[in-house]
Order: sequence, then structure tokens, then C-alpha cells
Amino acid sequence: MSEETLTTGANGTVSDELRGALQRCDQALSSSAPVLRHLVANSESSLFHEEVLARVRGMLDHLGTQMLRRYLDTAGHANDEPIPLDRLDALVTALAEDQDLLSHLHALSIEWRLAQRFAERRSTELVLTPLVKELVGSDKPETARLAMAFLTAQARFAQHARRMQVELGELPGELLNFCLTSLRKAVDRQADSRRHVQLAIRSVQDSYDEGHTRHGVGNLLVYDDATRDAALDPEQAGIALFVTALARASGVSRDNATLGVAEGQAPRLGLMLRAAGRDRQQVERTVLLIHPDARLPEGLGEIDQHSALKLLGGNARGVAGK
Amino acid sequence: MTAPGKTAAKAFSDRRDRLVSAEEPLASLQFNCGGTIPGTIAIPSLLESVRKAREYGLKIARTMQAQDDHEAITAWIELTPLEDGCEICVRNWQAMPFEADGDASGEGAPHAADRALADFTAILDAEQNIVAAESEARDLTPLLKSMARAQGERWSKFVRIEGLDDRAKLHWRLLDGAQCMVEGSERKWTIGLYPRRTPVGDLAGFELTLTADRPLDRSVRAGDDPDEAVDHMIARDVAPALRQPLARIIANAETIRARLAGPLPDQYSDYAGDIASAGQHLMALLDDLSDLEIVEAADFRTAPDRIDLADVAQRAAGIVGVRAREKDIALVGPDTTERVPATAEFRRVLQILLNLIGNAIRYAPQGSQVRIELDQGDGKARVHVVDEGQGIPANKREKIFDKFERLGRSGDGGSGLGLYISRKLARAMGGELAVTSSDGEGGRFTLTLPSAAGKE
Repeated sequence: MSEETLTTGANGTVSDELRGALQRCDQALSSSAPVLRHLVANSESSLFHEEVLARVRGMLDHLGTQMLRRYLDTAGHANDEPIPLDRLDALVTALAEDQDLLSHLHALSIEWRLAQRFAERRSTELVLTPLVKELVGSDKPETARLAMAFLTAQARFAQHARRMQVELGELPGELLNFCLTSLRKAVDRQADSRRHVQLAIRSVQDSYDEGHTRHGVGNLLVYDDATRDAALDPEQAGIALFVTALARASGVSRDNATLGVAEGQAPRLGLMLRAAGRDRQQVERTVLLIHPDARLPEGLGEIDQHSALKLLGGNARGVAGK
Repeated sequence: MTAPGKTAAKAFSDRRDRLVSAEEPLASLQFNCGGTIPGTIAIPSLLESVRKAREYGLKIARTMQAQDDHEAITAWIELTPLEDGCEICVRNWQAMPFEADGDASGEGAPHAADRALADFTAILDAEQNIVAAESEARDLTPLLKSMARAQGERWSKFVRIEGLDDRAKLHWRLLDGAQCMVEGSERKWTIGLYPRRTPVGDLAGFELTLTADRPLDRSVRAGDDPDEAVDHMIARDVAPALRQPLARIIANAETIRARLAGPLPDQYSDYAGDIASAGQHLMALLDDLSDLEIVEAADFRTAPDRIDLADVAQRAAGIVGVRAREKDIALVGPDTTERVPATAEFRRVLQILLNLIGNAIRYAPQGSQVRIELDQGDGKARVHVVDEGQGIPANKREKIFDKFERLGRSGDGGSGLGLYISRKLARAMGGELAVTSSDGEGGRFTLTLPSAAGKE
């Protein structure tokens, strides 16, 4: 019976407000990438938080630094030799051209900001959250191993985020490939430099494993249904694992899920939680936990999981149902 | 449900992304998706990731989503690029049956836009054999024709699908979204396959769509099928529709110019004169364009008759006599007793002469003479239009017969089509039109036609 009322709510007038709210969310999000690009290139900003922007710039810079350092190492330069700034600037400018890379770094910055504020407000741990602590002590060795790997990855992420940095090896494969391609283009065309840059790229490729990144380990961790359900409570799991679980359960990419958790996106957050199969009380509680001042549009409680998935445009197959 | 890491399957692909070996349950999925072992990876999301891992030279690990006819599958894949291929490790295999609703939404609604954009639609049976095909795109006409001849055969025979060789056996999910080329079309086509299901959910058949990467270039329309009769668009559709309103514009402008409706300042009368002459120019252009279309058609024929060139020349002179007098030009016609029989179509010869004499009057100096002369011999009948203008330089004597050639003139009401059309007409009647003047004298155009002398 409850099934039926839920479905009716999804198609009835109740969800019109929700639909409108989501549309506004979509509009805000769809314009975010070009605006971000503009702001990273120009210093004046009002729309995007300076801290977030500074972090994006810092991370771009750090990516460029890591790559040039590898290159100089393979070229036999001393470890303490400073990186030529004009080269770094040129490389960073090239990196900032890529919308996908910018969007990813933007999502990371937003995640860090959310995580910091959430931890402060709820007096929770940033890294060793209750759920992670529990998983590390799991009697299933595989789960314990993954939890430990996630814990260290999250600790590294936090450390780098405080310094406005991001590890090259933490990028998704596509973005890492883009960065390495940019490095190859940025280095001059002499045969020696080309050989050195090739060696540097090879060393990055050899040491990279997407499955060992924070995102990879987290994703693998929430394959377990019980863990995923537990991780959908941000107070227990912490923002990082919460976002990973939310992305998996609602069929959107992790970066998109992060943006959906950001300020002003409460309707989308609610919808993602519905798509992840959370009930009305759980949705309200979770949204208010993250955004204490948020007001949820009516109809969110009535919408069924499948309609929520469809509204989000995520892949309805494979994630729906259990 | 599976715990992390419980199910693991190993597989290897080669440098062409063909699955060389695979453990269960991956092997079954490969078969269910229409693939073989060894054979190209038939699971789209796996294929995409394997390609990336190989191209980037990076270890990739992520979620793979796939479906066969009954189940939606989610799994974690870890890909390690090797010297000549890729090592595939699959974990956390989760399979769940489709929800009825989910299936419909997946295969139906989101594709509405794709379907609406398609240039080609066909109905296939469950074996992907053609039942019916339909398209309005001109470059797909050959495809439609060959498909119509081969109903009941598999559709994929008629196109070239990129990157897929053993296409005859491929599962439809592999073909959906693939690119293909079609014989006779230069455009790149995206394949869409939409399963149609019976009410109980069995596969009834497919709807096949082909969507082009760009709209058909309009400029190739006329040329792409030379065997087809040229469309007489201007002569048949445009000219009749424009002629009447143009005639009204000219008539009303003339009325105003001549102050027939009452007194008017000179200036306004002159404006009306401009309108009238512009209208006349448009009307003439319309005639020229209609003629052009006709003479350029592959099936253009004249209706030759026995005519008297002298008679035609006199009539032509009579028609443009007023214009000649307006410019104070003396129009000297042939002797009224002269007779030059020729085999040609009367109205076409008249058209050519009007064009030649009209040009002469237009470009000859005021107060000069334009002569129309006749002669015959060697089985030919000739009429010359001679003026006392500047003449045509030797190097331009062929060029003036080019389409839209104005020899740098403008603003005199010519379209640059007259001589081009005239020569086409002359040649269509077995004759010729040429410039025959020598350097230093005025213009001299000669129309040569087959003689009809002695055939009486």
C-alpha cells in the first residue's frame, strides 16, 4: 500500500515544487563550471568562496610542481633545485584550461570545506570517524584491510587539503592522463628533455593504481550493503565516506554527489538520499544534520526511489533495489 | 548479497581489446552480450575502461555496469595494462533482475529525442531482419532501395560498422550507439536500436534508427543524382508566382510616372519611373532564370520548324524599334524582299535576336546605327547583328558567353545570362552564336543556323 502512495506522489502535483527546486539546483550547477574557470583565471570573485578558489589554485599549482619535480629528478637535477617559475606557470595555465580537472578539484575543495565545518559543528572526527573505526576492527579481514587503507588515504587527503594540495596519484585515471599529456606538451622539444619527460611520465604511470586511491578504496568499501547503509549517516561515516556511499547508492558521480551536498543544494541532497533508499525521517534528519537552516521542498518524502533516480538522471539500473 | 572481494574473476584482453580468456561470471556476460571468446569485448563499459587503461598506460579501478537480457550487473573492475593487452580482475559481482518499470524507462523515454532526430527508421523483427524501412534523406535513397529488395535479411549487411568485423553475430546492445557508414552517403551515422517487447516482456523486435552527424549539405542536392531530371523549380513554381505581383508593381509605377491619376511633382514621377524599371529588370531576370533552368536541363530540346530568318529579323527589329528610337539609334533591318529559309524554332530564334539587338542598342553610342544583315551558303543561314560601339576585345570574345559574365558592367539592367542562354539555344538547334567582328570595328554577332534552302 505504501508503495502505491509513494508512486502517486511522484507523478502528482506534490512534486512540482520539488521539480522546480531541482531545476533551480541544476541551473546553478550547470553554470558553475564556466564561472569557476573564469574566476580561476581572474582574481576578482564574489560568487565562489575565496577559500574554495584558493584551494583550487593551490591544488593546480601543486599538481604542476609534482610533475616538474619528477621531471627534474629524472633529468638529474638536485633535489633542492628550485622549479623554474615560468615553466610552472605555463604548465599550471595549461592544466587550468581543462574543465574536467577544474570540476574535480572544485569538488575536492567543497568536500574539504564541508568536512571541516561538519566536524567542527558536530564535534566529530575528520579522519577516524566512528564507522571507519568500527570497520577497521571488523572480523572480516578484507573489510578491515580496506578500512585501514581508506583511513590512511583519508589522513593523507586531509593533510594535503590543509596545505591546499592534492596528490597526483589520487586523481582519477582520465585526469591523471590529461596532466601527464600536458606535461609532455609543456616540455621543450629537445631530444634529451623528451627522453627525460618520458621517463618521468613512465614513473608516474608505474606507481599509479586507481584502485588504491582514496576514491577507489572508499568505493570498494561501500560495495558491502551494510557498510553502504551505515555510511549514509554522515555523523557516523564522516563526509568523505558519506559522499562516496551517496554517489554509489544514487547512481551519480562522486564529484556530482559532493556538489549536491554543498550549501544551497539541500533539495538535491534530499533527492539523492531518497534515491539511495532512505526513508522520509532519515532524509530530513540527514539534510538538517548537514544544513541546519535548510528547508526541504514538499513532496520529497512522497517521491519513490525509482522516480528519485530518474529525476537525478542517474543510471536507474544496477543501483535500484536491493 | 556479496561481501567485498568474495567473487573474483580474472580475464585477459589483447592489444585489439579482444577478450582472450575470461573466468565466470564474466565469460557468461560476454556471451550474453553477443560476444565470443576470443572476440572483441562485448560489454560496453568494460570495453571503454579497458581502452582507457591501455591508452593511458594506467591501472584503472572502477565500477562497471552492464546488462544482458535479464539482469543488470554491477561489478568492480581492476585493469592493469600489459605489454600487449590488459589484465582484468572483476570483483563484487552483483546481479539483479530488471524492474519492469526500470526497463521501460531505460529503453524508451530517454531516447525520444534521438528518435525524433533520426533520418532513417526501420522496423526489424527479433532476429534483426528488415521488415520495413523509411527515410526522407536523399543520400539514403540507395540504402532504402537495396533494403527494399532484401526484406527479411539482416539489416547490418547494408552498412559498414566501425571497429566491428564479425558483425553478423553481434548482440544488439553492442550495435546500439555504434557508428556506421552507408553506401552513397558521406555522412557518419549513429545507430540506435530500440527493442520492442510483447506485453509479457518477450522481445518482439526492434526499431532501428540512423542519425546523421550533420545535416545534408543543401548544395549537393542538385548534383548528387545526375540521372534524375532536373527540377524546373523556377520555371514551374517561382516564376508564375512572381510574375503577377511584379506586373502589378510595374503597371502601377507606370501609372504614377505618367501622372495618370493626377498631378505630381517631377521628383516623385521620376521615383515611380525607377520603380517601374527595377520591376522590369526583375521581370527580365525572372525570364532569364526560367530560361536558364530550361536550357541547362539535360532533357532540353527545341522544336525545329521551317522558318524565314528575314521575317524573324524584321519582327525583332519591330519589337525593339521603340527602344532604339528612344536612344536615337537607327535600326536598319534586312530588305523586305529578302528570304533566308532556315530550320529552327521560331520563338527561340526571335528570343536570340531580341537579345542581340537589345544588347546592341544598350551598349551602342547615341545617334549610331545598328544593322541586321542576312546571308546564306554552305547549307547555313546566317544573321548578323552589327553595331558601331566599342566592339569586343579579342580576348573577351568567348568569355562574354559565360554564365553571369558582365564584362565589368553593372547598373544597366543586364543579368549576364542573355548571351549564355542565347548560345545554348543556338546550339540546341544545331547552330552557333559567335562574335565575328574584327578588331577596331564595332560589335558583330553572328547567329548561324542550318539552312532550309532547296528543301521546298
